[in-house]
Amino acid sequence: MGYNRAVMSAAAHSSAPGIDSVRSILSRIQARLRLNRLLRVAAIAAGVLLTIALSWRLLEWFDGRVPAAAALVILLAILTLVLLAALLLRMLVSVRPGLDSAAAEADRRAHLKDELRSALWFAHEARGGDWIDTQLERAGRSAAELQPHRLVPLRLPAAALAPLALGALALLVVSLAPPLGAGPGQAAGTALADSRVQALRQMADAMPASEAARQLEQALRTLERPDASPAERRKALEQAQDAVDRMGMEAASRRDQLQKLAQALGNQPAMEEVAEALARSDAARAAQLLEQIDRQNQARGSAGSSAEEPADGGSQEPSLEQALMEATQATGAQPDSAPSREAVQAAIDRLNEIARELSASNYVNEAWQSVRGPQLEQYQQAGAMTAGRYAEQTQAGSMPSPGSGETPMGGGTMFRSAAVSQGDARTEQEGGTRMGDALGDSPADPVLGKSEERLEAQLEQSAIESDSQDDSAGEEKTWYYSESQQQQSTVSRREVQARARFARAEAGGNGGISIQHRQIVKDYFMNLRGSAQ
Amino acid sequence: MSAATSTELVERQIEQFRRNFAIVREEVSRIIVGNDDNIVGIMTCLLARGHVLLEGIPGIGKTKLVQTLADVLHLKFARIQFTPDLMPGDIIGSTVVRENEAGRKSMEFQRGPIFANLVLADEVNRATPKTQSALLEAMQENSVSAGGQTHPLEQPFFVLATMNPLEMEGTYPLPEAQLDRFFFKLRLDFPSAEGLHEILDRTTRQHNPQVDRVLGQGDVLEMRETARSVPVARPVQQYAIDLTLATHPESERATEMARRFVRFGSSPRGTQALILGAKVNALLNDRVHVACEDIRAVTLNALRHRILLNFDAEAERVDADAILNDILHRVSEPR
Repeated sequence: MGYNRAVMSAAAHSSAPGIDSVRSILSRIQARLRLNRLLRVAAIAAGVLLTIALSWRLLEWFDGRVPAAAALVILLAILTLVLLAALLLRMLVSVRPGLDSAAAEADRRAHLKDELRSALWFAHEARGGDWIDTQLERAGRSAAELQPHRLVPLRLPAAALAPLALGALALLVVSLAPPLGAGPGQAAGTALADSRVQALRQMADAMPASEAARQLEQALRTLERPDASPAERRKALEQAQDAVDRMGMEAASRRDQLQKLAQALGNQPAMEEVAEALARSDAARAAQLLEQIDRQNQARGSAGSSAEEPADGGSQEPSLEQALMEATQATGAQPDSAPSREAVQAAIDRLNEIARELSASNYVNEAWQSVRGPQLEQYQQAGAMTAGRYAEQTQAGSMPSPGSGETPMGGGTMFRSAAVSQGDARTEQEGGTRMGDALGDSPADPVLGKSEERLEAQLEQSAIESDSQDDSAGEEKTWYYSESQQQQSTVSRREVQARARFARAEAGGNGGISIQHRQIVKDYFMNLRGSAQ
Repeated sequence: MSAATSTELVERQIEQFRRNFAIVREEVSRIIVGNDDNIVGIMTCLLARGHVLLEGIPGIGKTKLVQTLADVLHLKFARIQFTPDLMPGDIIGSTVVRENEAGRKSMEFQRGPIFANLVLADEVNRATPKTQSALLEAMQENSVSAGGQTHPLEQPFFVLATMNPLEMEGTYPLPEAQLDRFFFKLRLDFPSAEGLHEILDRTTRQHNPQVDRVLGQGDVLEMRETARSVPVARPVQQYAIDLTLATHPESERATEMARRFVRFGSSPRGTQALILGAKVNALLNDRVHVACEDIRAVTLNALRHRILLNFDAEAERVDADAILNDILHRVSEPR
């Protein structure tokens, strides 16, 4: 309403009794409304400051354990809040309550039923008249009775007080509480994890030098560092997992190699036990058996021949397969060939080395599993990993067994795979199967009971076609609702059914009396009763 | 006349208006049990120069209410029982040939029952549209044309039409355009148990209560002038306009319910009825100005018959009162 300024300046109806009193009171109410607005602005500003301080303190309280994405979200939320508050403040400051707003507010608070607002408007309109003069006089009397300090008390809105108090309390609590990472349980968990890491490192040190061992060592060194950041720890965990996986694959490769050797030696009668041990991947036992065979050969051939020089000078170390083949020849399976003690010794050494590698790989794998769990847990508690990622990581490494195919699962998503309702003997192509799918989705059974047809099915829109040539094509036709084809069929069917019912009744279906004889029977009994009385 | 004198005169007018209104209300209440709001509604229509449509089930006292009002007001009363064979001439009158003692013949207009101050059109929806139109035209024009001559109707001219919402067999429902000519549409509800006791006590004894004629034709006309004098401020008038526009489904101010269930919104006559009815209501509440509360008080009576509902509303049994209550709830007063 734009007559506020005019009311103040033009003094349109200034001579009317009561209008001065109305203006005076409304000016005071207006001033108090503005002050209240300022208080509200101050409350909003305090709320924003409190929120920022609380967020800052919370970030400190989490001691850097909040991941970067979460911190970014918090910062964006704070920024949005500040922007909203700025907009609200701008609105509150720019829209200043005028006299008309003051009049409306006063009418509302004092239950004056638009008296002051109307008086203000009549004064502005400058339309004289007895009735308007009377209204202004009455409004002046009503305004004189108003007490602006009671009508518009200066105080913060009650809705703002509670959040402010709660925010201040939260800020106080967060300020006094120790940082999240300083808990005794957390320290104990970290110490336990560190001790396991050290044990794992000792095992890794004992392993033969390899690329995987070096990678594991490097990862463990990072995990042992107390000042490692969550990102570094995550990377180290991935590196360590990769190294352990590689070790596992190398071990599997060794076992595969032993299997092949076992098959190759299986047809040698003297090497049957060695082949069995190799088939069990028991390289230590195979080396032991090979050593026994070598000692027997030495005792048998010491009388006839002395030690011979290696055939090819032995400058290049033979492979395990080659060494074993030579050792087979040396065990007397082929007694006429020249034995080679170096070849047998090389095979024994290689088998022992493989045995150590396999054993160490097993130990490292077990030790890694015991370390990895607490590390992941610690990492996830720090907020650096989502729950889903954590679940995925805890299941990683649970490879299916080649023998049984069973997979150890720490947890997982259950899927319903069974049918949830009986099929109706129709195939999916026929559009009728109600078998459930893997996710358990299945069409529900049909609802039983009398079907109710919607009005849309019973009625259809029809239009009256106009014969006039003047009608434009785009003009809206006159339409109405008429019976739909479906409804006509339904009504016709019911009519036929009714006819059948009537025919049955006519034939004496109800109590054996046909319709045309019912009145006669009724009259008979009525008259009989009357005459009896 | 000085300012003090003029305001005193206005105050006296208001006081007189309220006193007369209270007397009529009290007299009618001696016969009619309850229905206080409807008595006020009928009086509001009378004083705002409108006509009223009464809707209620049979035997609820519609006719009795109008008869009592006619007894209380010293006005000429006529009752027309609308039937399917009623002709327009039966209402407005007809021109007859009259022969004097000298044997000279002349045409003379024989006035029909509509030439009265208070006309009760009982069961108005039983007559054919042609007859209804004759009545409704007279209501609108305040005059009757017959035999090439226009006969003005005596003021105050006030029509109370009754309608039975149950028996729709063999009736001719009033078209929306003709419903719009009624200032208010009032609904008479069934009385409560206590009200029924009171009705039986009053009507089943040897002597029925009688009423006095307390207001004359001049008093009513004076009250009409007083009601028209009440000023309305623009913000309050804006509220009446907002309410009217909220009933129009195509308007941007329409409520969601109005968009869904209303086919056509209220006419400008509806806004006029809101303001005029609110003026009477303001005087009754001893106010010299119209407040938004006065507009709200008459909204249902003034607009319920001016809203044409669509098929969805019929199917979902949503009536005009529900839509208007929703509008009253959602449309806020202009600030």
